[in-house]
Amino acid sequence: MKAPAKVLWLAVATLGVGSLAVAADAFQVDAVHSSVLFRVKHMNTSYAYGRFNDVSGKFQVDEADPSKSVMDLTINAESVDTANAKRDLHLKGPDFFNAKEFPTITFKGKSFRKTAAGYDVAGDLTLHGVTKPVTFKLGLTGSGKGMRGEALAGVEGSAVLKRSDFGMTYMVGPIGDEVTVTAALEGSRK
Amino acid sequence: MTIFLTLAWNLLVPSAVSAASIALARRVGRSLPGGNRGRWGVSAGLALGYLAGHAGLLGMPGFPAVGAKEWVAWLALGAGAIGLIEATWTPPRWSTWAVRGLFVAGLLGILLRSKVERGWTGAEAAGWLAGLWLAGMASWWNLEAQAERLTGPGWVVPVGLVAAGWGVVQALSGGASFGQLDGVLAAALLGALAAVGLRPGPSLSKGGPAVVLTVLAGLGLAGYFYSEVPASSSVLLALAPWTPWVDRIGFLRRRSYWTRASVRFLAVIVTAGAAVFLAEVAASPRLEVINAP
Repeated sequence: MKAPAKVLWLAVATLGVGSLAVAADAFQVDAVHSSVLFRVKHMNTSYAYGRFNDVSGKFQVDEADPSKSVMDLTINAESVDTANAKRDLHLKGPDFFNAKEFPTITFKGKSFRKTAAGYDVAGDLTLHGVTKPVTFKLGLTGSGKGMRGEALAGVEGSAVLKRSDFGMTYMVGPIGDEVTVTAALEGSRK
Repeated sequence: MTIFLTLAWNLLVPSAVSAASIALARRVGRSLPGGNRGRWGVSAGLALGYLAGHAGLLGMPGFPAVGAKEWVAWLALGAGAIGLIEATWTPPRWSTWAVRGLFVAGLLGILLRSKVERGWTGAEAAGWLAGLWLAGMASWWNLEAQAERLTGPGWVVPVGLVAAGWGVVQALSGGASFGQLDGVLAAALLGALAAVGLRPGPSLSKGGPAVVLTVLAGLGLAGYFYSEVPASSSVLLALAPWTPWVDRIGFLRRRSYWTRASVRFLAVIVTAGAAVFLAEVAASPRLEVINAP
């Protein structure tokens, strides 16, 4: 192997190991013990709540160096659940989440900033095929050991967004435009 | 949005914009040399009427659009531009169909992007896209041929009935917004009918079929692939615009204009009605399962 090729190979290998290390450090989201909830106003009177039952991804909050933190979530839009099957069918359809055309909702954290209450996590939220910057207010809710000795960590974050910003414009008015999203995540690391 | 406002955006605005555009084009056309008679007004009227209805009901679509529903509005405007060019200038036949072929291919690529990227294998995508492209081109030919032989209301009413049929089927199949948008097209056609008058009159063949095909096919594809429109209803509604050819059957050919027109309307109503019935049948068990304890 010639010298430049060797250097290139070493660089690639080093980067690869580095990426693996970051991935290994992150907590994998435990879908059973995590909740992604949302609330929206109905007829400008009361709040209707719903949740997504299928969430995956990883997170890692580095308290010493927030820039090394990770937040990468994927939600299956088909898993929307508002405790009313007929309404869920409508929500999955083209009038709202359009889950067949846009099956996943993702959030990729880009910057973590320490605040008095926790962290401001700014990132890109992709919903209904539209990617917009959104900032979640994130708090650390706990950490410990699981039944098999694995490391556990919990975070909870919330953000307020306008669904019309993401092209979900059907029935804005009777069903509010402003949606509060709360993600309570539990993750494990072996 | 109140029910009155919804109805206004769904029905009154598209029909008013469509009628006003056609009337204005005819007025301007009469004053211009060349005897064009403002035929471009039909494509412009239908496209603008549809865009106005979409903007009123769901907001102005962004560009680039988000998803098939928004893209249909821009594609309708593109189809309106093609119709406008074809109505004002007669290009060579081969180039007309070459442009139409490219437009239909682009429409399929844009609207079915999600299926191509995530839902289909390469072979499935090739099969679906090729089949739908052929169906789209054949439908364009059919709509234009019908519009050329059935002047004025003879073409607008059956096509309007098909659009209304699609609207009901889409609403029954979980896509209320798709249904509203099909209703917007039906309303724009109603405006065209008001502009051309109830008697057989000016041909709508120049430009009208381009916009009608784009909206019906665009929303139909979105309804089938991204909503719950049953295959049987989709096929029936795709075939419904072909049924007016029934008046070419021997013993009907020699009947009066109104008899043939009634038979044509009946054929469309029966086909679209069967599509609605099948969508209702498909929706009922789905909702029963959902409502079960």
